[in-house]
Amino acid sequence: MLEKLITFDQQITEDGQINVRQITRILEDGKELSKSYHRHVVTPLDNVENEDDRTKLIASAIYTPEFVKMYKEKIKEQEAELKNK
Amino acid sequence: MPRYTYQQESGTDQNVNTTDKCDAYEDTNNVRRILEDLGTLLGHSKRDDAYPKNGTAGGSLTIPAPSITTINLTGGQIAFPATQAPSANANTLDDYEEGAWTPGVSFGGGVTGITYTSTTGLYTKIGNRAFCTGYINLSSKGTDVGNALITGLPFTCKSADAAGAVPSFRFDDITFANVFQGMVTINTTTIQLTEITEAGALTTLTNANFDNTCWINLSVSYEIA
Repeated sequence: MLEKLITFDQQITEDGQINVRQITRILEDGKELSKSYHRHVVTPLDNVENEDDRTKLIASAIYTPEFVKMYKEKIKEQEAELKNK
Repeated sequence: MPRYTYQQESGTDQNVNTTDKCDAYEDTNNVRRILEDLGTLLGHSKRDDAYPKNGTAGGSLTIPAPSITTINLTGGQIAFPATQAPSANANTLDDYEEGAWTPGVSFGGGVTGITYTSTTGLYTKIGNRAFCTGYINLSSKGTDVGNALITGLPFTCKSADAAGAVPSFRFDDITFANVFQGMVTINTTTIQLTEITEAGALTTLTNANFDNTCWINLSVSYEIA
């Protein structure tokens, strides 16, 4: 029997961005025939409504209002630095 | 004469005598020779202590130069773990991964009403570097206004001045003055798009530069955060 299994794994960077990797496996009678990846990154400023459940849980745990505020300030500083170059 | 010999005891005399002791000594020497030759085949000196002491996880196998200078992989594959085991050593290759990403476009940070005929991307990650290609074909640029960004890179770009990689593009139905440019913005997953005149005036492209049905091919490699 052929089966398509989609799972996700996550890795959090130092400043709180979540690297999300979608893993798609094709199985035949439980034996893996192929595996492919799709990646994207979630930042504290992103809407996580369409993310998988675990990414949503991670985001809700670490993206506190205070954390998001700090991240916004960091991005602003970064943009200002870029403009000055 | 063969390098290794073994004399099978014959006859009915099973008593250990001087001859038997000599045979045993020769056999021991033969075993030693076999082990030495195996060691040489593996590229190790019998005195260099380069073998792992045991097979526990986390051990490493050192092949001392110049015993072996080429490793031939007859199976033709090197497999890395699905989850990177990162190394801080500048001379250590610690990851390889192939996959897909979905490039997109935003204007002023918004994506309201933007639709695509096609949007596909591929990446290969080797060590700390991502090699990405992508194709975006809009069917509508939506209603948001402001600076244009290409979004969705598969990894966050390293936060360092030297990490802002410059992609190469091929596109249609996007206007610009003199020279079209792009750069991966450090510490993000986006590519900013700019134009620069021959007089040296740099400005950021906006929604106004994009036609509803424009398309872009891009290719970029950058260091990952």
